[in-house]
Amino acid sequence: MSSNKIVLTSSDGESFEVEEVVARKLQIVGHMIEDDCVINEIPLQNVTGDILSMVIEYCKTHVDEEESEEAQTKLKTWDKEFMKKFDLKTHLKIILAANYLNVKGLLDLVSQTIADNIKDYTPEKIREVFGVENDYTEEEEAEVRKENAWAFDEADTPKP
Amino acid sequence: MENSHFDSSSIMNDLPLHLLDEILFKLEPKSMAMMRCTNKSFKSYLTDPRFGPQYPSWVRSSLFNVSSYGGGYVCCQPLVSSCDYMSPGNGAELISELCYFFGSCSGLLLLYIGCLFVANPLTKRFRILDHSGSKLIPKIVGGEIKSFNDANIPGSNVYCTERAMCVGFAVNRNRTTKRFKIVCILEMETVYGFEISDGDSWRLSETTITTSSKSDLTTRMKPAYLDNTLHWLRNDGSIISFNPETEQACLISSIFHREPDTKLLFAESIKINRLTLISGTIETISVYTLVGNHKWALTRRIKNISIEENTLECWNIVAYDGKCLVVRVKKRGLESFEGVIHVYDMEANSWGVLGSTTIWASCVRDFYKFTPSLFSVEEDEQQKVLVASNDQRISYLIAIMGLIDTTK
Repeated sequence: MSSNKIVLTSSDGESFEVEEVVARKLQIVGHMIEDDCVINEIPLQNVTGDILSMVIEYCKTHVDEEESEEAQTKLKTWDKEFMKKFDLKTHLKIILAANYLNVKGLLDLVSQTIADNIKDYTPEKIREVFGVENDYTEEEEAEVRKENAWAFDEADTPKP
Repeated sequence: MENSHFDSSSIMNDLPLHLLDEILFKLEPKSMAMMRCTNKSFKSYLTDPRFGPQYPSWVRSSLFNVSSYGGGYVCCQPLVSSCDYMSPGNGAELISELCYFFGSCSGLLLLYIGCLFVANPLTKRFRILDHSGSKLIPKIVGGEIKSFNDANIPGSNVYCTERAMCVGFAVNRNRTTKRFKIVCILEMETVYGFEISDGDSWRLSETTITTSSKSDLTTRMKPAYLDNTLHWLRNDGSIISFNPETEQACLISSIFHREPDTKLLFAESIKINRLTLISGTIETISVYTLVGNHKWALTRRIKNISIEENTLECWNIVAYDGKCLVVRVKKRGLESFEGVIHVYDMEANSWGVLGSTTIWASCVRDFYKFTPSLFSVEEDEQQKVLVASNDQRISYLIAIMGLIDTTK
């Protein structure tokens, strides 16, 4: 692969010069390159500079996916640390960007991170964090909690 | 993410539905239940069958295995098309009791550890059943020694456990009822009777079936549960079926000529919704499907995993579900790698290794496929059989329920 450089421009006019191999990790760019081989500057309308830089950072790290177990473990640790840097609001922006730019690995990583963060949340906490409106009446809520009662038990204390 | 609130809108409105799904599909079962409790639209959205039995991230099947004579050690492995390393899986050791598995259906287990339990290992709920009203179960678990020779075999319960396959466990997948039933087939020469329990009491069904030809039920061959009906295999390839809901029984006269020295497995293929009979020699495994309710038709031939006959102690075909075929091979010797569980991926047409069996595992071992569900085992408060929560049997049950991995 040549070390051809490609410039990616965000919706707010920020430009990033990256190697073609990195840019190709964004499948939207990959398709553009394949459709028309003389592109070297690509405007990306639906993503802002701050988010695009995160996506590029992810792609740079994942540019050569090594098969070895050691490399995989290292990459997983990096993914985890990378995700820790951001809050939920940013995670959601990254999901939208990963979807638009078509970076499957990142989409999986962010959605998994959000799902993992919900772990151990009570319904109240989920409502608070995600801004979900409680539209149950008191009776209805008691009923739905009864249906899902098993989930409220403390771990490892099964009830007959 | 602790302090990141959404000003006015909710995640529901912010994210396109397919992206919200990306997150929801990755939730573990407990979070899924919590999510249902937050809000009505979430609840109805998450009641969609897509998040039901096929829900990908946690509905991963496992394979339990335990000695057919009642075991002191229960093992469980994830049922996958191959794994990276040889492992006997998770194990639970029972010191003062033997464990008998009677069935695994729709996410519930029917097992006996000093008393009869129906348990859901995912929700960790269980229920103790009074089995004293059953004609059959006390005989199997009671360990009566019928013949003098059996007394030499560890566990000395060989004769009795040979009838364990007469116990059928059915969980009606119909969402509104969510009821389980236990059906014991009572074999009396050419007449078959059925005793039924819905968990509260035992009764003899009025239905009996008389067959014109004599052929015994195949010992140690578990019944197959398909279309809400239990099916027991007889030695001549015919089937006795019984529907626990309608209590209708019938004989399916699908004759099968079993070659000598073949291993047999009777199972349901969920994928094509058919009964299946698998017959294998050391070289080839043949898959037969029941067609037109009368004939076993050969549908597939698979080259068996290579088995060296000179070191072989035993091999069996132990599980089949249409997607995976599981074969267990035990070589002579005591090293752990000498008992291997192989799995054939029916779609990819390739063999892989699922793990090993424990070194002391005998040749006669039962395997039960388990697929988690949220089916309930709830009961009438008044009918509840109570035992102390620090009862040893309960802690064994908890250990066994803990063998399945319900996290991602």
